[in-house]
Amino acid sequence: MRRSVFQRGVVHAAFRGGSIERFLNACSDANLVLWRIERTADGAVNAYLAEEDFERAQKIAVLCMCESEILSQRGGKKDARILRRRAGLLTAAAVFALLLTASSLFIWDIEVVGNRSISSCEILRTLADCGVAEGCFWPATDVEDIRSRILLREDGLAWMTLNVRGSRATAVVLERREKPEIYAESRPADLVAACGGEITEMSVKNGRALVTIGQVVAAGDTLVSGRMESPAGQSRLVRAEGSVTADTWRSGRIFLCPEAQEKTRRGGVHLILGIKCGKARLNLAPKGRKDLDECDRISKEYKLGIKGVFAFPLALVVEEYRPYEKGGDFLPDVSAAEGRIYDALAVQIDGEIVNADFSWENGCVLFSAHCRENIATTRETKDP
Amino acid sequence: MRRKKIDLDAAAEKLELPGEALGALLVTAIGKSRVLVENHKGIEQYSEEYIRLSSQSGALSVYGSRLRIHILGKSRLALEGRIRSMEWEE
Repeated sequence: MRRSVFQRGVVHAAFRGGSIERFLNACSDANLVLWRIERTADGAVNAYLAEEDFERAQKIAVLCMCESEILSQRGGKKDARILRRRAGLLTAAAVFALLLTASSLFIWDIEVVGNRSISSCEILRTLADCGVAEGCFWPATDVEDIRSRILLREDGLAWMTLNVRGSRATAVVLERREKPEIYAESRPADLVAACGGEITEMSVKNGRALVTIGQVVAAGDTLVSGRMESPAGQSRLVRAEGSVTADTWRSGRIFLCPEAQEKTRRGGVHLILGIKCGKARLNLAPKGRKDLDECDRISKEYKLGIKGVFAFPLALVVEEYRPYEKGGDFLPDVSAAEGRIYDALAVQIDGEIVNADFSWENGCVLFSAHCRENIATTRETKDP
Repeated sequence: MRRKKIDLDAAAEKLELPGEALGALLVTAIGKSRVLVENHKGIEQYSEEYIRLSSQSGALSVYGSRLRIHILGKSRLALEGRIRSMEWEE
């Protein structure tokens, strides 16, 4: 195998004497290769030559009545000596490089992107069930197979892929969109009441109104008919369109977990540090589980690596334990619950809430709301 | 017995061979800064301004400034620097 100039070693030497030309010719005849030969102001010649040839060049210089002097030297035996002195460092670097190469074949960090309604934890759990978890050997994973299995398990996902780069895996998902209601505009339909109420306003764009303002209707009553009568006594079916606003009254009860107990903080925060190497975990400050009962645990993991590029199988785990005491029965925040119910109702109805009453009874919030909303909903007419 | 000097150019012409195959000096100039000389018989004189090389058919003198031998091998030499002129001597 041909060795590089650096491996062979290079000597930069100066040769002085009366017959430098004779020395150069003798070197040339002896098959010694010299390069970057320069004549200096003091009459010497500086040249580079291979370390293994320098000894022969020295002998030739003596025969030609020249003196030789090493100006600098690099590579070859000199550097090998230096490297030998640092054998431990080199071994450590080699072992580190080996570990780095080996660890890059395993996944140590998984990121989920593109999800909105499905939580990352849920997708990570599904991935783990399909064999993609921290510490898995990624060359053995079949992305197509994993994709098929995950899409079968997660109904909410329309598409996904797994990109593995170094020891990081990125699961890119696309959530399924709800298919919009598709109807043919030419199909005849009636407008019926979605819920009972007293009609306050009507706006009929197509069809024949069967109710009037001030009339009280029940859920399911036909408000606007799609059957149009002609003066000649013939009838034709159309698609009824319009809006019917009515005063409605909604009531209900929301159960608010009566068995919960209120937590009160006690004492300071306990920190437990740990190092996670692969799947194994080493606690730096072990603490008995007994002491950590009745504590809120907040766990954070700081992974070693370059964010978005590479992750090592090493992570610093910081666990915060916040002790608490269980107090008496939990007193729910009624006003907050009322606010949440109000907001939920406002989203649910196609109109506005005129007023709402709330009361608290046996762990339940009772509510009754007076709403003004569009109660008309389309019901397609069956073909005659 | 005195050896008769062979005219390499004439011999090469008669034998229909390139001159360098019979040991004639082959000089390749690359621009004004580099010259490759093959089949030389040795360096007769070398300084920063002048280098004289011997060959079978005479001597070659190269004049210039900051002349440097880029590489020196067996019967081959690459010269670099600011080359002003080259001269053949019989």
